[in-house]
Amino acid sequence: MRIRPGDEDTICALATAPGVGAIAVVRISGPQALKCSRALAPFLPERPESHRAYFGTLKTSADGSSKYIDEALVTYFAHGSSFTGEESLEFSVHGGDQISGRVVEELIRGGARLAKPGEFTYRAFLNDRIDLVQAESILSLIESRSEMGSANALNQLKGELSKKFLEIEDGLLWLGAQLEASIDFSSDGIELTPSKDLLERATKLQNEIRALIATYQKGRILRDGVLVALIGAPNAGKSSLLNAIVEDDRAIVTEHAGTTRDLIQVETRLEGTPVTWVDTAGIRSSEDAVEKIGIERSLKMRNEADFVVVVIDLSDRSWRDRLAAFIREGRKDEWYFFNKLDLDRSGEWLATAEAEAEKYGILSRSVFGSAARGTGLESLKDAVLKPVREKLGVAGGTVVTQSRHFEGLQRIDSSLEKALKLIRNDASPELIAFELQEGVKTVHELLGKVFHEQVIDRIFKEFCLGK
Amino acid sequence: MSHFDVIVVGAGHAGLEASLASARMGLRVALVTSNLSRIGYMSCNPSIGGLAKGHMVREVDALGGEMGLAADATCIQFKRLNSRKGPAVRGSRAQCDKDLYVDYMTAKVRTTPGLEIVGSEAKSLILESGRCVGVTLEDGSAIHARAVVLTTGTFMRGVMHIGLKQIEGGRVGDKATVGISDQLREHGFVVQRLKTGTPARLKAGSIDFSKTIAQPGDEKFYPFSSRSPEKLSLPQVNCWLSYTNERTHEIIRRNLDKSPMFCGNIEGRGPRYCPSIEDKITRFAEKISHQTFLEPEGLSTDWIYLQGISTSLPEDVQLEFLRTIQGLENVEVYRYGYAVEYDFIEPTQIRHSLETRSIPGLFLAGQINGTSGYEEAAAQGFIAGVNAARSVLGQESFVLGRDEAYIGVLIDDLVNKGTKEPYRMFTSRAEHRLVLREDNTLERLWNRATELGVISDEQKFRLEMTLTQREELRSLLKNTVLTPTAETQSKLEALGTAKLLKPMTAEEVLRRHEVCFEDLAGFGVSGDYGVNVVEPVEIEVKYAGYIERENELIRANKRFESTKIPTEMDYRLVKGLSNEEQEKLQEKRPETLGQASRISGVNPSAIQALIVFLKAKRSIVEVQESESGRRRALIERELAQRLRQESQSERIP
Repeated sequence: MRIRPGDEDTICALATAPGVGAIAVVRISGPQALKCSRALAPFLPERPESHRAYFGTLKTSADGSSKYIDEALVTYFAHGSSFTGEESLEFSVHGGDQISGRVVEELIRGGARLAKPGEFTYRAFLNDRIDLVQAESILSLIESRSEMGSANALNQLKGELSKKFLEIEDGLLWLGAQLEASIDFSSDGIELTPSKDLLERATKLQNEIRALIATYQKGRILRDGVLVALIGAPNAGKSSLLNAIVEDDRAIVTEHAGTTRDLIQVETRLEGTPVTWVDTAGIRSSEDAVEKIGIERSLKMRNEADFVVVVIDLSDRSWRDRLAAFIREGRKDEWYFFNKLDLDRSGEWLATAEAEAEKYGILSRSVFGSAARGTGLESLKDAVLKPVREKLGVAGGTVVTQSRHFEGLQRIDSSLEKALKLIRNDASPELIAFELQEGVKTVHELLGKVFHEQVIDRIFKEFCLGK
Repeated sequence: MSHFDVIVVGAGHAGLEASLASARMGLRVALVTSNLSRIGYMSCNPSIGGLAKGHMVREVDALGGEMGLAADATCIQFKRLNSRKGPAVRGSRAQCDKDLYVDYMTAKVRTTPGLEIVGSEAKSLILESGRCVGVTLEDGSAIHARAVVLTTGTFMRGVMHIGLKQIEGGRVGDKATVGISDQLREHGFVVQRLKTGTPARLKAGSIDFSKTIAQPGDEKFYPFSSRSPEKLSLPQVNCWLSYTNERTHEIIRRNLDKSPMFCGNIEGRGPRYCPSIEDKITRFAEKISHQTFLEPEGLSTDWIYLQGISTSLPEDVQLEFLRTIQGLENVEVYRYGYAVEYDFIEPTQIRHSLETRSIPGLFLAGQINGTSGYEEAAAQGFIAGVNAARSVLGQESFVLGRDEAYIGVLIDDLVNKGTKEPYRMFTSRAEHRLVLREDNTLERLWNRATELGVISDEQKFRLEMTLTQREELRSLLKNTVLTPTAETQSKLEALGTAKLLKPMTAEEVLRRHEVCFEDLAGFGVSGDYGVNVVEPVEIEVKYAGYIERENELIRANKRFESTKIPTEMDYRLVKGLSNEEQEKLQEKRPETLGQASRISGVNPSAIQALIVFLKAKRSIVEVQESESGRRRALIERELAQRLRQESQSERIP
């Protein structure tokens, strides 16, 4: 299936992540896939069998010569039975950019062109091999940063989430049919479904939708991991704490600036879950315009983060006042890291701090330690992971990971809520039906059954971000 | 006299509206019918209107059609169906005196200037250089015109079935039309069979009505036509309700092998929404009883129509099971029920103007397009008549949108989706039904009606009066402000509604669930407004929230709906389409994405392909640019790699 100029081309690209690896896979797809591969893999039979791997030596035809590239396993997929729905081949070669690069080069020489990001998935979608939700799952799969996240994306790819959406559609259509019958066949002496039954079915459907919505929190963790904000007064030791944690894990995955330079994010991996630590600007009252902006950002992060750690500097003489202020202004689920115990010469700080925490009833959310010495870190990490373990511990099943699906489900829920209210008020059926139709429309949008240009645009924009 | 502007074949509900509309637009029209005594005859049930159908009667009326006026004038029982439901799904139904209806229509066509009745059967179409330019008649003579409207109902190769007996004809007492459908088939049209049925007609004197339940009409009459008198002119009658029982069902079940439907004699598909009694008891075997209404066919006749029990079983079986029904123990039958099978033209072969795609000048309307129902027929007849006239006058065709009228929904469905069973209108077919109400028909269609010029100036004046009065009332409601004085508050309290916290307009107060228009009289909102002024305005106010939301949907839809597909579009280039989709689109040539999306067999994925294709066409330069950008990046990467390789190889030795 070809829609845009260039869609008739045969495309190829490295399918595995670039860089060092044991093997690398290059994929080629399109009507000329086999033809483009002939020179490269002369050992392939005239008519290869679909889903069969052939072993042989890849050769380059550059400069009219016939030089050896690598030994490879080449799997052939016939038209109609490949991922894209087109004729495809996969070249498994030895890892590294060199060999795979030359394979791509040879394929291009053979008549293919380099695939655009996401183009294989795009073709699979257009050839009706996958629906929109499945297409998105591939994005998820590629992007997923946790093991369970990948498992979930695979589940979605298998169509489990689409199936859920179809069940919701079916429920809405059933309700709609009852209402339409009561309108258009009211004088035909048919038995109408009592509104008690409608109410029951609608409520059940709503519960199912809400259960699915509730998985989003979990889904988001699977997809994005946990965001932990470290906040506190300037010099409370937030950066040291961050460094200590990162050092401790020796697993700096990425270090990148936030929206502005005042937010430093570091990602670590705890028990397979990505945890992003955000070091924020110190919070204090300031007249300096730039600093004020930084502080505003810190406060915003304090609201948005999944987990907030308030760092209290016990060496600061006014730490009690600061603690009081943080508790007063903060979220009720914040944790407190009482820092710099290493500077205690009196040997009383710990007891005082514990007493103070006890006084505010935050003892259960308090950790005492020292970023400089690396003490208290394990308790803190444990605290961060506890809710994650709880959330992920929820029995498997289908999980919503994408914001588009989450928003869609919320809209369906709200349509259904309006419909339920109307049913309870004994409103006229066409008004109830009006609300349900909105719900059905949203399901169709989710599944890509209706086009909302913006939805399609957005999805393919996402594809082009680079997979 | 054998030269006309427009020839209309058939004087049923479609043919009448077609011929009257063309003639009223100033053209010379021939109305060809083989039976002069059955002009506007109700071949089946004796009523006009009903759910979603009442809407269409009003729409035809607002545009200048006749059906609403005729139904109002001959109404012997009026009912507003779904009266306890919301205003959008209420439907007016008038049971009419069949004979008076025919008299009314006959007089109307006889007295309409420019309209000539030709009492003959149309045998074939005259085609000249691909256009339809006339018809030949029974006696071999020809009449010519610049446009022909075919409204042959169930007559094209009509076959009636009673039991295993088959009789040629489109209706008892009328013969079938044979030549035309063959001619169309030869011309390449897809012609298929449909089936419909009608129940028995009973002798009133043989029925014990005391054993049935009387069904009187409504107290309040809402005429279909804003041009009709507001009062009923004829005395009103009751209908009667009775039920089938297990004995009835047993007899029918025992004789199913004698039903032409069940033994395979009938190939045409019947309507699912109007099943025969044979169908009902087989498909819903668990139901032990079905309702039936006994409906008088007129004031001066003792024929009773047995609604709900259409059948094509043999006469003796019919009599046997009828006599098991309460009140019908000694019933005598004037005419037995029968099924009729007929040819129809797959309606995807016509345009929105109802002109056929392959024969310019030939228009089709009514059952020939696969519909069922007098109202569906009248609606198409009117549009076909108007467009035949407009084609003669060299004007653009007149097409109503799906968000403007049920007529728009009807024709758009037929043209784009076609039909596999006799098509009947339902409110659920209209996606914007909250704004397609009976009460706002005049407002919806006024501009379109004046553009058409079917309504006479005198009638227009009356309608304008109504519209002006409604407008007056709207501003009265907006401009009357209730202030929270002690007097106002106590009056509101007496009405059982909340007191005012601040001044409020009468319109805002009327929006309250528990307040109705009459309640506002005490606050200075009064005037000599008839029900046809008050009701629409009150509904508008009360449902303003929903109406606004629906309008928003319509606006949102319009963008997609009106995205134009270039006329020279070559669908073979859009290879995302299946062969079937490609063919359908290539053949239908939808003008907009909206139309394309309603063509049956064209899947959402195809529309997606079209959107992307159209977009790509627009941004083709952009794509090419980014393409070359990517290639450049690729080349640069390769260059960098080679350089690295070279520098490495340099170092190695």
